[in-house]
Amino acid sequence: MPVTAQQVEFIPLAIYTALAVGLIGVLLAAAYFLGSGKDAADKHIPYESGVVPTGSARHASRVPFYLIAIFFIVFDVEGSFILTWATAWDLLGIQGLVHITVFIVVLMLGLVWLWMKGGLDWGPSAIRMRGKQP
Amino acid sequence: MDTLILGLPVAYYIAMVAKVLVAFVFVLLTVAYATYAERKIIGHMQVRLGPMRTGWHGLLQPIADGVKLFFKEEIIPSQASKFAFLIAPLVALIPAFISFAVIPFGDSVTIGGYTVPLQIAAYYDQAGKQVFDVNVGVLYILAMASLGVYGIVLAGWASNSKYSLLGGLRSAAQMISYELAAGLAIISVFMLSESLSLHKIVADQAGGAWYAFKQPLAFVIFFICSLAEINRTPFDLPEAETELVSGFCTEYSSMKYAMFFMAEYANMITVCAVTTTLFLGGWHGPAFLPGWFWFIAKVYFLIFLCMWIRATYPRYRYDQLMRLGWKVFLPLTLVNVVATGLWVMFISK
Repeated sequence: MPVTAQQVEFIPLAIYTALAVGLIGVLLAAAYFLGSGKDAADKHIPYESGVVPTGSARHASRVPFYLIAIFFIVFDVEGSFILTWATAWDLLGIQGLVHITVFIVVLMLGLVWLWMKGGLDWGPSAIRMRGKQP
Repeated sequence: MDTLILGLPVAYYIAMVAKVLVAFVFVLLTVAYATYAERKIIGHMQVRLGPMRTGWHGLLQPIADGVKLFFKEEIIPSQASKFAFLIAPLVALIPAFISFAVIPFGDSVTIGGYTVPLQIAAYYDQAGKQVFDVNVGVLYILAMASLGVYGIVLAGWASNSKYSLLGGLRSAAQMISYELAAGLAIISVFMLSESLSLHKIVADQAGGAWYAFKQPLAFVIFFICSLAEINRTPFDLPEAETELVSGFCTEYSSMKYAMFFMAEYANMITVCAVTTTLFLGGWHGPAFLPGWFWFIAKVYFLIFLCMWIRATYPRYRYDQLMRLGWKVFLPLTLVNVVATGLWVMFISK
């Protein structure tokens, strides 16, 4: 049964992945069996520079991190649209270029809006920004 | 000799396995000796000697470090989420290794009558005299880079330690921000190559027509963003020792701790190899030496550059880092896409 090039090129990829996973497995197993040391209850306390930790570390994360995740998803999806356009943009000609320029301008307007709203600011500048906007 | 498996002779499979083994050992050795090179180079840049005791000029240092790590005690914090804690180093390291699989480290070589492309995930069509590789190679690398983020976030969250949590969160926000800018920066390269296949991108750069000259802005932005994405100095905030001890891997010990570092160095090699492939002409170079030599030389030069940058620049502050990514690089990459389109459409044609 002849195979297509697309199928053959994934065989070495599979071998390589299996090698990487296998090696990591061997390393972990070796460290598990060779590892030494005495067990003690204090060793299992989270490290906080020698201070006894208070409470759990399962805190809610701050809002800016959440915002960054949302911005990333929005812009990454837009990025994948531009990527698909870029692989065949020669065939689309000037019309395609105009389309993508309009698309990118809209994207930039979104970025400018985020910028003005202070969504991209961190630390002292963000606090100043929020002070301005009640 | 005539035994066929899936329509291909057995010798082909032997060549394939040999190629994969050579590439894998090369990556492993480079990871091991990148740690040594980093200590040695930064040592000399700071007028120190670096490791000197193990072997001649400390050449056995990576092996000694590895052996030491095997014998270290494994500690899992009692409040940690055990499964996520164990799986996190794997999620960080496996993508770091396997993203190397689509990078062409040379043109094809002929061994015993069979032409083998020097790229792991590639196939040489003996009849058509043509190399086929994964036609979405760049997407594969971007996808693997995204997977690596999970390992670090998972490590930070699963440890149930405040330093780890902060390190993991910072790292996630930083990596996705710069991944975006890096992904958009290389779009202008695809506009010139009109393909996502790395073999074709390198083939297009023959004769010194490197994309670094045609797309200098994209080249610089991509390299800087890559440094940020793999948490290298001056963007190594997730591991900022002065404030976060060791960041997301504070609670890790033994081989699992080493795995985060192997992942970091493997990512550095991948990033340098991708930069070489996309911008520095891959295996192309003067013909008196084989292509793979030029490829390795370029990659090693970029790795040296990473270390040089580490010895030179102080660490960014977090708000500066985010400002650079979102307010400078992201608009610049978008403008660059349009500018490239206009340039190719109206001036170079």
